[in-house]
Formats: sequence, structure tokens, C-alpha cells
Amino acid sequence: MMKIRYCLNPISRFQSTSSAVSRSRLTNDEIRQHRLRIYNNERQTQMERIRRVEKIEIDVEDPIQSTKLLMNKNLSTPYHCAKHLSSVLVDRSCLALIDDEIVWDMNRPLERDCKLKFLHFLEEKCEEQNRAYWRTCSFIIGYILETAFKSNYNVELCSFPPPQFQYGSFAYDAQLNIGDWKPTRDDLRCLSIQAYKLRDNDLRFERLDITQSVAEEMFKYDRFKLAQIPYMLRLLSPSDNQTRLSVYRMGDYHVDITRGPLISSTKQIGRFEFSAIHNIDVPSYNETMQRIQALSIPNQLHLHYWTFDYLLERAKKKNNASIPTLAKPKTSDNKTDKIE
Amino acid sequence: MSNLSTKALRVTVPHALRSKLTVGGQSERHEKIKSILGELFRHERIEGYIRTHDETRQYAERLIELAKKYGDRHVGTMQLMDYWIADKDLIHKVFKVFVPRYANTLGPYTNAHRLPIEYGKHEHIFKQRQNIVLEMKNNPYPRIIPDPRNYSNILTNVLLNEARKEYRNEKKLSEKTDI
Repeated sequence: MMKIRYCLNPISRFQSTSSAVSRSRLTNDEIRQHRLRIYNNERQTQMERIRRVEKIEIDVEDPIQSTKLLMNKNLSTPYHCAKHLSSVLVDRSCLALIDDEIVWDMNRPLERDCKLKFLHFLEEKCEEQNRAYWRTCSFIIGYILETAFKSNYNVELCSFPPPQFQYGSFAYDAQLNIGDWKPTRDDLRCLSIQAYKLRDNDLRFERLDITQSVAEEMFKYDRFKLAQIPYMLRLLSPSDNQTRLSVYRMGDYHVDITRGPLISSTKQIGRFEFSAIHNIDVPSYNETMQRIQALSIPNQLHLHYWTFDYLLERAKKKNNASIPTLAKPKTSDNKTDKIE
Repeated sequence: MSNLSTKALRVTVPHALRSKLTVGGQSERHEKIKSILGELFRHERIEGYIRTHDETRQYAERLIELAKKYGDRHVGTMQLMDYWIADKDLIHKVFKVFVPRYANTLGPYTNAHRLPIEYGKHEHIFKQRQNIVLEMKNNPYPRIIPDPRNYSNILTNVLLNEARKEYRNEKKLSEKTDI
């Protein structure tokens, strides 16, 4: 039962408020709370499945201190391992490397004995970290879109393209339902300030793998996400019926579907500026959506404000990364749904 | 011994005050230099007072240049080595280790880096004592001045490279359309 409601009032300045719900419509806030509730329930059931606490041995390899740690299976995360070692690792590591090959989230529980390395943004090879960072920032755009507008506007999130640095910005595609609204410079600044508030709250990103039925329950009110779920599952593994969709939650605020690893916490965001909103035609959903673009740098990296503004000018151009498409169910080369 | 010639030494030899070790006369000076030379050749990285150690740099360089040029069969070179190096196994080390190591490089074969001045460490607590690290080049220890790190993959540099590429492409296009 999908309750979808829109209203297309003319534009006015927005603030983040949550007003009383009108009878047949649900506000963005309520939909968000619904998703979070389902997430919490699912997480509870998954935690209860762990009957016994088993120990695993983690071999942490850090250039300064290498130790062996005994951690709990399916409960301890690389973040906990870092807390045992030093606060520098806790603050600056955004991803973990398992056995020198698999990239792992900092807040994802470890499952077996392994070798662990912490990755940060100032290394020789940081392609994974950069992509994870921009993926996280796209995720954050989704949250800001849902909460920044007044409650009589209903924003429907669609998806975001994978991070590509040649386009100079990361983006989120959503149906803003606002009509002809051209954001002014002050509007974009208001949106950016929401991101800085998140940074002050130091929210962690937690992952959960859910089955198709739970996912459909969770995204009951999001028609775009609901359409994407079967395609995502088929993309992840075409034949297996037991695949799970990976869903990330930011602190206690927002839940979204995304495949790749996200960084450790919002404290690691540095500058975050919204650059532009462009209209894109999405034939898969037969709609014209908006692509909201932004630019961001992690906290660990320093960039002069002039250089950042220069990159921001470039980020205002239309980002030509892939448009959300729903994949055909069975093709060898999938031009698939671009959630990363 | 006077016809042992080498190329000019590539370390600084101040002419105004040629020898900075004057206490006790020439023989004392030679003893001090010999002991420091012995330590340098044995440990390949030593720390010490700048006046004594900087001066032994000249001697270390000269000995190695002679060893490179004349080899260990030459009488004059061997006599010099015998005088200046107290531990005779270090003479072997000069010919067997240092000469092949520096065979293809021009001097200087030693590096000297200044260390921070620490006050209060000597009897006269307000006296400065500038120490240096004297080391043979290409020694097996990790470098004192580390290799420059490669930051070309961090996010800011990646973004700036892309912006630079785009700027150049646009410039090329605009030049083409102008022409």
C-alpha cells in the first residue's frame, strides 16, 4: 500500500521543521522515521541471532604499532580495534583493509581471523578512500534533501551515480516536486550548512544486510527505491535467491541503499558545498528529475579557500555521470541501476 | 707521500681557520681525528661536536679518494691508511666496502647534518654546543632525511588534476576555433 502524496506549491524559503501530518499524506520526516524503525527492528533481530560470543584473532599491521588483538566475532568492528590502539587511528581512519585485499567499513563487524590495516586520506594509494568519501557525501546529500525543505514539500529520492572525479562533483538524483525552482546562492549555502551540522554531530555509518522482503517493507513509501530493489538484487548476484541488499544508516538520522563502503563518521567531512541543481531526463522512470551536485573535501586534507572556490565553479557544470536506469533482468553487460 | 694526488676535495675546507682543534698541539689533534675517523668508518653514522667532526670529514674523504685511485697495493696509500686508521680491520673495510660502494660516484662520500642545539647539557649551561650527524653515504640505516612522499593520489590533487586537464582542453579548443 503505497501512500504517495505530493503538493506543488510555489516556492518559498525552506527550513527544517516537522509539522503535523495531514490525513492522507505523510511528510518526509515520517517516512524517514518509518525507515529507521524498520532498520532498528531488523538490526535487533540480527543481533539476537548471535547466541554465543566467539573470539577471533585480528593481526593489526600499523607502521607505528603492530599487535594481535582478540576481538568478538560478528560484534567487534575495526573501529573498536582502533580504539584499543590509539586515538589518532580512531580519528583519521576512514576504511579498513582486510588481508590486504578487501576494503571494509570501519563500523562493520568482523567475521573471521584476519590481518587488518587502517586506511586514511593521505596515503600513496587512496583511490578507495576517495571513492568511499564521495559516496558518503552523496548519501549525505540524500539526507539533506529529505530534511531541509519545509514539510509541505515532498522530496522523493531516487539514487546516486557512482563517484567519478573527472566530473568534478558528486550528485544525488531526486524528484524534488518543486516545479521551476532555481536555487539562489543563499539557498545553496543554507543546504551546505546542514552538512556542517552533521559534521558537528559525529554520526557513524552502520551497515546492514537485509533480505528483499525487509527492504520492500522499509522502502514502502519510496516508489523509486521500491522499483530499484529487485534490479539491485539481481545485479549483486543474478542467480542466488538469498542475496541481501546492503543498507547504511547514518547515526540515528537516515537510511539509504548503497553498495560500497562508506567512511567511518561524519566528523571526517571537511568543506561541503552544494554547487548546482540541474534537470535530467530519466527514461527508465519516465520522469524529469533533478540532479543535485556538491563538492567536498575530507577534514584531513587542507585546501585554500580560493582553490576550493575554483573547483566549486567547475562543480557547477552539469555532471554527466550515469543517469539512473533500471537494468533489464538478464543481460550479460548490465547497464545497470547506478547506485554505488 | 707528497706525490699522491687526487681531485679537489668536495667538502668545505675553511682557509681562515684551517684547523679548529688546537688544544695540545698537532699530535693531539691527530689523535682526536684518528679516533673520530675510526668511529666513522666502523659505525657509518656518528654524532658529535661540529668542530671536531667537520674537520675529520676532510680526512675521511681524502682517504677514500686515495683508496679509489691507487688501490691497496700502493705503498704510499697503505702507509697513510696505516697512520690514520687505528683499527686495522677498518683498513680492510675501506678497500672492501667503501671503494666498491663509491666506485661510480663523485665525492663527497660523507653527509653532515646539523642537530638541534640543546642547552643545559654541559658544565656551562649557557654554552651552545652545535652537534652534527656525520654519516657515510648510502649506509644501511634508514635515511636521515626521508624520501619525499607521493601525494598525487589524494583527493585534492586528483580534483585539481582533472580541473587542469579540462582547462587545457578548453584552451586548445578555443585556440583551434580562433585559428
